[in-house]
Amino acid sequence: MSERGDSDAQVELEDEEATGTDDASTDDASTDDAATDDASTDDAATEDAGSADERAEAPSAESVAGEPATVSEPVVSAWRRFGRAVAERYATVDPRSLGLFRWILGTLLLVDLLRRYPDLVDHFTNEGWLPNHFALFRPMSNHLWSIYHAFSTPGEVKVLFWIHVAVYFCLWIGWRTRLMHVLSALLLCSISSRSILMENGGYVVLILLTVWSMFLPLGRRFSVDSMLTSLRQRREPSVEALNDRASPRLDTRPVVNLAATALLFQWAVIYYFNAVHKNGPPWKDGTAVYYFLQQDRMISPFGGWIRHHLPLWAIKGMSWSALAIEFVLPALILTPIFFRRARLLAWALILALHLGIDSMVQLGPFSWAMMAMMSIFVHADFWSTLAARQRKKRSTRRVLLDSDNGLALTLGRLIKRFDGQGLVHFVSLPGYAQGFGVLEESASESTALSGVAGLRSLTHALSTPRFVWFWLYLPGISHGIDGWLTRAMKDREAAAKRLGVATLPTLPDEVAPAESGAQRALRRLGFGLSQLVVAYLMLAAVSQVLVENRAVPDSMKPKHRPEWLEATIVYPRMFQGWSMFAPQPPNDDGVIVVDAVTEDGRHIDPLTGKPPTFEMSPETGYHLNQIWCDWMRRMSEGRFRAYLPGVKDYLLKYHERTGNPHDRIVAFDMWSLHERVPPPGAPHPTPTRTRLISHGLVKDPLPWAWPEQGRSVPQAPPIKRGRPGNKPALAPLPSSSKLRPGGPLFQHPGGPSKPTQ
Amino acid sequence: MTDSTDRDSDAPSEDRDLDDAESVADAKAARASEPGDAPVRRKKRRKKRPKDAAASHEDDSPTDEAGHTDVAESAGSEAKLDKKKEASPGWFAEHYLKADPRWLGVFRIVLGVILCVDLLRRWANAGAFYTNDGIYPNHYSLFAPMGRHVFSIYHAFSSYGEVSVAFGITLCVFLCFLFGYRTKLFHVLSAICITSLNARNLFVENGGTVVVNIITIWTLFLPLGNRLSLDAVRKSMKRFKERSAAELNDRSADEGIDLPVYRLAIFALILQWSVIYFFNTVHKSGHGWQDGSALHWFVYQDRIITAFGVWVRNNVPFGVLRFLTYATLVVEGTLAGILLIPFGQKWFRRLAFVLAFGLHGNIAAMSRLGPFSYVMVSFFVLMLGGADWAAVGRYFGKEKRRRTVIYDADCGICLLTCRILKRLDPFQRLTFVENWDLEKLPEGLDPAVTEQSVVAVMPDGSYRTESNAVFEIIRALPFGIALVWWLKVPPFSSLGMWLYRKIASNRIQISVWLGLGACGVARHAAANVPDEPKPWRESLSRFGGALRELGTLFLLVILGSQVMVDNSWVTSKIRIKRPQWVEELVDYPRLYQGWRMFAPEPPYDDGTVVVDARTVDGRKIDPLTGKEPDFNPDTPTGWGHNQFWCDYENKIRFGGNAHHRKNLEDYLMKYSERTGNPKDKIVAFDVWWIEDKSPPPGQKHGIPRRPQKLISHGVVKDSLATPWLKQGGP
Repeated sequence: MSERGDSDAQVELEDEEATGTDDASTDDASTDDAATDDASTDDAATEDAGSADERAEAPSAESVAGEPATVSEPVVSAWRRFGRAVAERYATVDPRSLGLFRWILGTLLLVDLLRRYPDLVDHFTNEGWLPNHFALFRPMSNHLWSIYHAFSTPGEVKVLFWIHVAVYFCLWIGWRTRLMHVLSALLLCSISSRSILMENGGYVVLILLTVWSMFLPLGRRFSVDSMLTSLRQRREPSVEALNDRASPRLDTRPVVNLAATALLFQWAVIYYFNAVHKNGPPWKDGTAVYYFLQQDRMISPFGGWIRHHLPLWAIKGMSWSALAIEFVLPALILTPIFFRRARLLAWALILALHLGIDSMVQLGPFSWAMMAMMSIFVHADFWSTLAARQRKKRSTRRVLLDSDNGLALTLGRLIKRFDGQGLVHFVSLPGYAQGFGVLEESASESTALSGVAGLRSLTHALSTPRFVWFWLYLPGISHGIDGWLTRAMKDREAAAKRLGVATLPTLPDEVAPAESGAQRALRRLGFGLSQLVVAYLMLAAVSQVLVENRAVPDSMKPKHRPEWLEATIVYPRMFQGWSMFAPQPPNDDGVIVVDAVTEDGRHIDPLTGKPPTFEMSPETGYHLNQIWCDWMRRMSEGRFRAYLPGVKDYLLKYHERTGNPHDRIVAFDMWSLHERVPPPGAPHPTPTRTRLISHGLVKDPLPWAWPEQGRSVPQAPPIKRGRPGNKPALAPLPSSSKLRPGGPLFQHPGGPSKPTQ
Repeated sequence: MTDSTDRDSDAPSEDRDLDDAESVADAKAARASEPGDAPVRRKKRRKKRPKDAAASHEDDSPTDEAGHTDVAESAGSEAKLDKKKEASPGWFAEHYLKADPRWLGVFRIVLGVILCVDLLRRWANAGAFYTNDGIYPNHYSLFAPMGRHVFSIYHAFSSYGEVSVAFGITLCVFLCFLFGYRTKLFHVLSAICITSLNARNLFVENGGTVVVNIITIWTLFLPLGNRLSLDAVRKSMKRFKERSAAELNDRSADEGIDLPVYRLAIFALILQWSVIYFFNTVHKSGHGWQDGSALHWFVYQDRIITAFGVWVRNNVPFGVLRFLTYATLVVEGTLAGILLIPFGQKWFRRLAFVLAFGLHGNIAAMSRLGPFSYVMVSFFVLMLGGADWAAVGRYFGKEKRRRTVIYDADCGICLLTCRILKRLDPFQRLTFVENWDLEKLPEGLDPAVTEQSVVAVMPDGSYRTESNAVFEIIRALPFGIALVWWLKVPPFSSLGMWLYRKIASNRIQISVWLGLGACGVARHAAANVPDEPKPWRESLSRFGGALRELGTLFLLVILGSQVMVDNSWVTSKIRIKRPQWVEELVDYPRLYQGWRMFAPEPPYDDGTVVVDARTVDGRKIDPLTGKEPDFNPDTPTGWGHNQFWCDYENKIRFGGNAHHRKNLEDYLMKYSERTGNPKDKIVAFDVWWIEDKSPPPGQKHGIPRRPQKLISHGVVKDSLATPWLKQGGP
């Protein structure tokens, strides 16, 4: 399969080179050799086809210039073959795979965003622990930028949040894909940068995936954009035109883009450094997964179950196999030989590794982002095989259309766009009473199904996966569609006029004009510029890899990097330090517990809304989500002590969040509980606790069942002034609860500021 | 050949409002109101309309403008048109809702220029006022906002680099709005940007910035992009694909697009401006206004006075200033009511324009109040109508501006250029002739010349070729000279000629490259296949129009309530209580309605901030000026501050803003970073507010007052303020 696929792709590329891609005949030639029925079209070609053109045209440009050849032809040819082979292995992807990836990425982004909604007020608004003014006053990092910083109140943030959801949704369905992708990347970086206390490797990987893929044409297939493009390419006014599948052709032209290379190498780098950094004793003796499973903060219920039931030898096997997989993955991803099978194997291993990880611990989007990337490199062979399989498994359908009616023809035009395999045959029945009907190939016309039943029947022939059409079976929706379609077809002349398609049967069969030289030049210019940006980002990423990873020898680390190069990486949070659970998994664990007293004397933990408990090592973990898990971990560290006053304000606003005045907190102690993870088989050591902040005096505090260890309160190192204009904390800030927008202290005597002149 | 079916079907909702006769129904009244040659010209054009085009109007689908007018059938059908003519928009609509799309286009350009200039002057002061290096860092603006419900996108940007990126993007947004590219989208974005810019630093907010917010938001409800915009050109190019000189010279297809539109927002704007002038008049009840000395005090405001203002105070007798004071009151009072007069509107509104121009022109010439004067005058552009356009047309359409353009009919790029020129020629000064039409060539012109160059035939029969022809053709367009002046200035003229010849000699290849028709190369097929009308879009447009008018009405009510809250003239009589969300709707976009500029009294005193600082090498310096501190509040030439520093200094002195002075301290301490000279490092300073009582009429020098210390840093020895702390100054 691999060899055949190679030759197919080779033929296609060679065809393009031999003829250029300026006219339709090129596509004919190239697609005749293609294994699929799909064929590339000139008009659908985007910048990536442009690169093929460039390769093809380069020699001719030289000959026009009349420059003497400085190297012999065989050498040039060899270099060209080498370049082509490299491009095929490391820079070529299939547009259908890009379409698939866009659906996966869109889903991932939407799920990642929506999971934050329950914690939106706590972590992203001024009602939470980190008001935007303090995040800007004491930024946790240099070069930190977030559009979320401009939004203060829960209402304002929710407005932005739903705009954010809408942008992701548009990317998901592929409407104005490139614009929405750029906006998605900006918003993703923004929401990560709003509060980087919760940032982890998953956030960074998701950003990397979104930013690198921004340069790929994700909207060429399986998108609203591609549907609209196809509808514009040909206006079929008759059933004959509908049955002509030569135009518009489905876009299968391979994409050659440096961003694909960047993604491949990025993933190889991630696995490589994650593997080589794992050189601590637990990874060597195989107990790493044991320690990993003792992390009560982030353990999932399944992980909690498995740690009590899996024998140590199995855990050791899991540790070593995880390490082995991480070691082998870079080679599989980057191997130049048998690369298709190798990448398939790599994807399988990645799925096994990350599904295993994600089932046991909550790391946010990390595992899913890691798994999603490989979908970009699903080879064209897969789509060919899928198409062949579809042709075998799917049944054919005949669609009866009243070819004198524009509405029926328009419906036919839409159906044609979903019929990638050509299994639908349109039949012209002028004056057909039902307007539109569907029947199996051998059935008689009298048995034709109309309305939603017809559409359901049609899904057996369309190339779109059938589950996509589930909504045709939903009560209510299906009834609505059925009613609308039946009514529209009954009075289809009027309906056609309303929709502006009544004259369609009388119009000429119009095909969009070919791309002009100017349009092509503009496209190539845009493509060239985008490749330059990718190359620059790759340079910045490489320098960051050298700086951040311990395994890189000091001699290779850049001594001085210009500020702008660093800013290029830090602003979008495209960090490159890969040492997850390395050199060894954490051998301690903990949680934050607040022992608060309400005004009616109850003890409550405002973080959970339940009575506080000092329970250590619960059977199935603390059931924290990733956001709270990372927040608690970092908030316990001394370096984030400067943010504790914000937490205090947040806790004291508990009654505002619950809406119950009796929940007003009069005193609290916020404890960080800490416990060493014992070696396998050893008893649990005595846990310790550290008071992070207090407010008032907590009478009858919650009893601590273990002896006090007297662990000192961590001292805060000075926080680096990351931003010009930020003042060092010379004087304590007033309580932000008093000073938030609209608060009493900052209302002028005369009310809000007004024009004074 | 184009036809109206094509036109109607293709129209996006916004544009259809013009094309159809939401306003065709009002054509009769509109034409009656247009003086001069406008109705005559239209009549002549109708006669010239080809039969097939007229016939095609029969198929026009009904379209409609929601909100005010009845559904109007397409302009092509005479029977339907007559029917529409019978339907009057109503007396009220005709008098208070009507706007001319051409003047809406002019207004968009004026507002776009104001926004761009406003942004550029902010950019020039960005370091001090919009970054964390300045006097009001974003975190402090969010931590201690100066008003309720303050929201600004620019709060997200901290460093000068970040702010510059944000301002660069904002400039692009404003430019797109100015040129009318995707006008509605960029109008909305412009409104968000300008209100955000104003909200980022409320120290520099004044009446002018509020008026900019108000006019930008009210005009969101108007179709500003239907004329004189890239959108209009693109739409027209898409609809009408001329392929011959006859089609280029046929202007009848554009007939409907200049018909007036009727929007509630026009009435809202009239009310808004009347309210501004009314309250600014009635609030001016102080002695200074009653005894006619207000303007005298005004010109002694050294904070805001310009060089012209200084000249006025030194040379204009008090009697004249007293007259001008009363004239100001009279003009403001007149402007408060003149726009609402229901009769003689053409002349009253022209008079209003002249009065506003005189009033605000003088204010702008004498003081620095930011965009106030300019934006106040810009509104009156909206009040102009078809008659005024015709008057302007008489100037731009002078006979001597007429040109006949002879172009290469086989050249696609030449035809495309002519099609664009046609759309940039609103006064129809250009006539197009194909080069093979020998009968129409002027005497003495060798036809071979037309194969090599475009030819511009002047009204006197002489002709120009090559870049000289380009110069004459573009110059005939309104303000075209701004684009081509360089073609007459050596050595640019040689460059222009070289460029022209390069393009002309390669015009066939360029045409092919652009995908245009050229000699032997087929043009795009089916270029003129008309699209079918899409009633569902029109229904959507009707629905959108209804929502738009409801939105206008809603905003009118909200701002009406704000007028009743913000103006003491009303609050002394009526007090209303409003829900929180109403206040939010006003606060967020900062659409305040308190109008009392220089009222009830003109300011009788004046002052500025002086910093008495010591550098590390012992020099005395004022970091705000870079010079030695000057405590003398009496200045013969004004302080020379721009509006930002003027407003900031005036506000920071008040006790209510004392907590903001820490930021000023930080800003001053960074003086050496700004100059790049380590010796400028400040070791100590005192910040003083110095002021004087302005001199009464007949005197030239004010009476200094005791300086007031605002903040200190370190210990300033031998303070320069010491002599001024004694009563009466040194």
